[in-house]
Amino acid sequence: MKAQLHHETPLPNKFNINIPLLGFAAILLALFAYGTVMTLLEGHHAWGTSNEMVWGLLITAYVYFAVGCTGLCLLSSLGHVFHVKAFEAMGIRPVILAITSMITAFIVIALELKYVLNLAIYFFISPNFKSVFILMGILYGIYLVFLIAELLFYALGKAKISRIFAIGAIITGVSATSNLGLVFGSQVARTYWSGFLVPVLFISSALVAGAAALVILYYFVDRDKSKTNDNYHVKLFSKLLAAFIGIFILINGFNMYLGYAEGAGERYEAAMFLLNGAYSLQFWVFEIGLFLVAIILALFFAKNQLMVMGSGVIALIAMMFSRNNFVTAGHAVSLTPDGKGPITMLTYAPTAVELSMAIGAVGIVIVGYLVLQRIFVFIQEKFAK
Amino acid sequence: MKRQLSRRSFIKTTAVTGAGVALISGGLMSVDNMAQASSANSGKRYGMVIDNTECIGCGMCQEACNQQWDLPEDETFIKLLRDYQGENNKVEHMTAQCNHCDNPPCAKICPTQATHLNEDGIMVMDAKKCIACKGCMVACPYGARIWSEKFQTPDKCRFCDGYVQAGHQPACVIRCPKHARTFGDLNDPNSEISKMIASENLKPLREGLGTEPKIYYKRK
Repeated sequence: MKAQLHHETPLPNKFNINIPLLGFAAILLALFAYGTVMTLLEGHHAWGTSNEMVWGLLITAYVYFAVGCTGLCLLSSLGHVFHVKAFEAMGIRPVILAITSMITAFIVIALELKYVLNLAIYFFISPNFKSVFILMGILYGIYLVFLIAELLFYALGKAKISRIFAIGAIITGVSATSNLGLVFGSQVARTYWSGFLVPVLFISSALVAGAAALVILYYFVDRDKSKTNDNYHVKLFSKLLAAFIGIFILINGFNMYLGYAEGAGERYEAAMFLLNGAYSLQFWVFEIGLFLVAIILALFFAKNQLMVMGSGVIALIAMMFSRNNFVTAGHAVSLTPDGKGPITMLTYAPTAVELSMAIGAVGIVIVGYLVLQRIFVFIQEKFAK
Repeated sequence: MKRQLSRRSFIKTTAVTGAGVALISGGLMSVDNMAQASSANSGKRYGMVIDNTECIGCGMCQEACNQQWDLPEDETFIKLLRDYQGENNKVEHMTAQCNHCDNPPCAKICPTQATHLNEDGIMVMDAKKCIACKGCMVACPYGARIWSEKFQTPDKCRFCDGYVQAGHQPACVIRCPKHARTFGDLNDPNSEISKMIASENLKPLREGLGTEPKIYYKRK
């Protein structure tokens, strides 16, 4: 019988009091709290959005965390659902991180809405089932329930039932992320968003974010092995990360090319906005440049796992810029009544309030992960047979 | 043997997952098709003709609208683009507002049916249901909506809903000094607006998007 190559690192049986980590998370939470208070006091006047540039960094952050959750779920399914040997030792950690990422996404979008209470009421009284928002909300809600159920039954030692919910989570997660792509893709006037590649782009970006997050997570989970550059999961996910970034750049590049190839019109102008317009720095340096740096670190410095972990961090930063570029470019072309008037490009720059919330939300993920991890171990110890 | 079972299990699981995604997608599309707007219909379908050949760009329509709805100075439901050159390649004054589309992308995206076509075909806003997601603002291909500080929701031209049913004309139509605006019932073939549209083969804006707008333009 072949010996198992790798074993799941057990979850800590007490709350992880890592002072530097908690300090870092506290700073992020303070930033988030600042942004939240200012948003509650001033509403969208505290943001850089306008009547024409309607969706800003908070929508970007929601998409970022929601799609990141799907990536984590997809990658964790390689172990839990498909029983691919190389991934089985991952354990349940990716699911814990996926849940906290999804909850963070919901918190961010709840703060973006001015009348979230109306949503809570009229979601049930007068839902519009033609609305991609409603379908997205339903799917993401069910997805979160499936993830929590998967985690719960795993904690209780009921692996088969946990696997059933894991399958349900993949199905609803992929559907929800595709539907999220449709939120943008269904906008008849925003042709940059309505390319046929957009749902595929969202799924590929989910895999990038998931792999990047897991590189970072497992670097710290098995810190001792990471220090000796012998962390199996860091090696595994760094290769996946490099591959997924390459695929994402190709798909995104082709999507941009399709816009450029139109030669004129709204989609062309949106593509040029990124290629050589007001957002060219954000695109070439902070998106493409950082992704290439991440690939270089992941592949050519693979023996130094600190560098590899750095590649994960850089990839996550690049993905935030990528999302923001996508959302902004999609409605950067000012609409004219007949669609043929003079082209005017809009500008958008997030305010300090928006930046605080988008960056500070990472603190919710960190603290949420630590708390949920502890709850998982508690349930496992108390109730598992 | 164990390796073959493992491969079978992988294929089975992948097939189940793929089938699940396909089922959900198909189910969602069916729900989308079934979820028809089921509001009662009064038999009227209000529309407007705007004659750009008469428009002098005075802005009285904007002023009238602002007074009608008591809007702040920096808000307007009607856009006025002076010396606009669009698809007809002619310079003209262009006013644009909500087109009260029969296939409205704004109503389609609204999660709570806060914005919807009423029984007279007027796109209205139910503020108590609005969640301020601003999806309607993004969805509108005419850029017709603004965030209204007065109403604290995304808002736009209301075709003077409430007044027109009492037999009045919209404020912008009354105030226009050149009578460049005509309002009426598109469902009545004998209405002035219907006759104008038929006789002069007038077209709405961005017809190719399939939104079925109800404001028709006579352009230079």
